This record gives sequence, structure tokens and C-alpha cells, in this order.
Amino acid sequence: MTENNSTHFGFETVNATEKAGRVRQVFDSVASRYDIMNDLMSFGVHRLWKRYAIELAGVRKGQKVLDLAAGTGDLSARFAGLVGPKGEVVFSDINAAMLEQGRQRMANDGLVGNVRYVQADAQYLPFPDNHFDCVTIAFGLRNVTDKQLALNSMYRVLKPGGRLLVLEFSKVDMQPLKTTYDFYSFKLLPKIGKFVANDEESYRYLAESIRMHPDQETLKGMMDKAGFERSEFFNLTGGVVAVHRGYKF
Amino acid sequence: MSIPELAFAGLEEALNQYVTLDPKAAAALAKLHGRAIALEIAGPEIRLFLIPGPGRLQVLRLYEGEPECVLRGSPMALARLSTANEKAVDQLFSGQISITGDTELGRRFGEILGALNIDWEEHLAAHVGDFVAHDIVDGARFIAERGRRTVDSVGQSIAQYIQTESKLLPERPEVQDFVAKIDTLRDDFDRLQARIDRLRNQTAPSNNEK
Repeated sequence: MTENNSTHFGFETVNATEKAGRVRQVFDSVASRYDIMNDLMSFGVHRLWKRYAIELAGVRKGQKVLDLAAGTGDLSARFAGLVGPKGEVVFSDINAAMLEQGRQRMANDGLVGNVRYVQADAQYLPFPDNHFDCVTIAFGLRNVTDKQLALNSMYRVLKPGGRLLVLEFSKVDMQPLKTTYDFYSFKLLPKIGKFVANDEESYRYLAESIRMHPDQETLKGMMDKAGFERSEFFNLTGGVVAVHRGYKF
Repeated sequence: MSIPELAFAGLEEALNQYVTLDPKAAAALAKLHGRAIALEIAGPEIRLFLIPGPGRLQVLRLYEGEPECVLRGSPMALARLSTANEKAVDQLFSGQISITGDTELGRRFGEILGALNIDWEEHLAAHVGDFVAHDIVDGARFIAERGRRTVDSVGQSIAQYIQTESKLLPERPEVQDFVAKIDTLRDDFDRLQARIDRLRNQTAPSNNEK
């Protein structure tokens, strides 16, 4: 967020109060085809990125996990398996349509009993201090209006010893890959979005929002500022995506 | 992201394909929800973690908690564990697979893997409907049974000739004996290596004194 209370919505500069509403419109529009969208945007590799994030999260039996921007629940489903019946996973998304898609998917997969659903804004988390062993946000932070505020809030709800995992599109660090990736994101993806979901604009926003997201080092600095220690990042697929991890001690 | 990551993801998908096709195995795995089992493959020294739960058996390369049970064996012994034609329990208690930690958990998990039983009719019905699936499977069974009898008969004759008369190939007990000897040799080699390392460590200080 900038000094004059404006922020980015893709490549557009908009008033900070507008962004949440515009992001909601995008996700209301793509919710029912969210999994297809992820497959299109990543050629299916998002499943491997998420696996990697799960392993870095180090979640185990009996722990409490908060999965923010949980989408259709790819991470939550795995966490629900890992924490066992005595653990707890809070499946959270700011968007009611996404939350409903996720809830249905989890129930269909038989994942009930240790999962709670909370519609929440990552900037103002409605949970007590020092509550979770792990907080994750996968492909969600770039849609948050004030990312620093969200990171501060995540830090607050983590227990001492807990860790934050941020999985997000990032800055490509290989030039040949960057050219191809730009062509795919800005030229092909919106057309595919139009063909598959009849929604070119939402897909254009998704590509633009990736480019406007802070790069690896900037995000790591923001995590440090929020109070996280031993912050580090892991580039995946040449930096197309990065996993940031930080601890609260 | 490394190739092993992809291999682990592939292994997880393949195992879950079997689990989704066998409701009994899926229900049994759901009862072990959240319990971590390490599988150690001797030789290539690969360690992977299996965490069962409702709807999915997760296969992880990294797991920060302590596994409740460790199953360790040669690739051959572990492969036999997951085939239904041999009793998994026999494998577990014959010394070919060692269990450390919660042995009851290891036994239960071994039994589930060993008993994965695929109901093809049910699987097919999801795509073509119950009646058609039943007819297809019945027809397939008839053809398979006739084919199996013919193949068995011809196969037995050929096998008998190759193994007994021409002595070109070994018989099954001979192969099993050979595989067991390789496992024993590997264990002997590991022990010898450990002994050499110990002797080397014992002589190391005297070298320093010179």
C-alpha cells in the first residue's frame, strides 16, 4: 500500500478501499472453476509446489494449523490428514464463494471432525494471540490490500516456536524462462480464460497481480519487519513461485 | 524442486489409486489417521514417510516429527509386502522386514498394504453403469478364465521343459533361495563394513601418535 492510501489492482492503481471489492468480484467469478484455473496457470505444477510447502511446514500430529486463502482446500486437506483427529485445521478464506467450494470438497473427501471454517480477512484475524503452530497462505497474499498488516496479524496469532509459510508467485530469476512466462501470462492466459471460463478480465488481473507482487527479497524483508526470525525463501521452477518461511520465537 | 520430489508425488498418486479402488483398505487407513510410518529401503537407503488419513495416504520425503513405527527391508522384501499373493504378516515376522517402534501399528499397516484388493467391477461402474459393468466384467472373467486355463496348460508344459528337462531357467524355490542369499550377503557386507570402520577408528589414534 502506498503513502496516499492507494494500492494496486493488477497494473491499475486504485484506492485501498476499492481493492477488496474488486478482488472479491474476481474470485466470485472464478470460484467454481478455481482448480481448473490453477492447473491452467501452472500446467498442473501447483500440486508439486504445494507438496513442497507442506513438507516445509513440518506439521505433525496434534497441531493447530491456520490455512489462509485456503481456496478449494489443497493445503487444508493435507493438513487435516497430518494433524490427526486430535489436531485442528482452520480453513479460512475471505471469499464466501471460495469457502463454500472448499467446504464441499473437504466433506466429499471425508475430511470432517478436525476442520473448522472461518470467513476471515487476513489483515484482521479473528483469533487469539499465540494460538496456532503453523499459519499458511498459498497464492493469496498478493490479493491482500495491505500485505504488511496481514503479516503482522499472522505473527500475532502464531505460538512462539510456530512458523509461517507463504507460497506465492514471485520473480522469475532465469531470463529465457522469463520471456516465455511473460508471453504465456499476458497473451495466452487471458485468451484461455476467455475460452474456458468466458472471463478474460479476471485472468488478466491474475497475471498482472503476480507481476505487482513483492519480489523474494522484498517479501522476506516484510516478514522480518513483522517480527519473524530466520526468514528464508525457496525458489521453485526458476522463481515462478517462491515459498517463504519464517519463525516466531 | 528435485526429481525425487516428482517421484514421491508419483508414488503417492499410484498408491492412492489403489486405495480409492478398495473401500476396505481406505476405511482401515482412515483408522490410522495422522500416524506416521517411516519406510526405509535398505540398499539405496531411501527413507519415506507414510501418513494415512481419511481419503488419502500421504507420502512425504520430509517429516519433522518422530515416526511412530519404522518398517525397514530390502527393495525386494518391501515390494513383496505390497503384493496380495503373499501374506504380509509372514513377511513382517520372517525377518525380511524389520519393525521398530510401535509394532502393532507396523503390523496393521503392513496388512493393509498386503491386502489391497481392487474391485474392477465397481470401478468400471462409475464410468459405464452397473449393468454394463457387470456384463463386461462377467465377459472378461469368462475370457480370462478360458485364457488362463489355456495359458496355464501351455505355460506349465513350457516351464517344465525349460526348468526340468533343459535346465535353462531355475525353478521358483531356487530363485527364492537365491534372493534370500543376496539379502544375507548384503547384511554380512554391512556387518563387515561396520567392523572395518570400528577397527579403523581403533587404529586411528596410534597413527596420530607417530
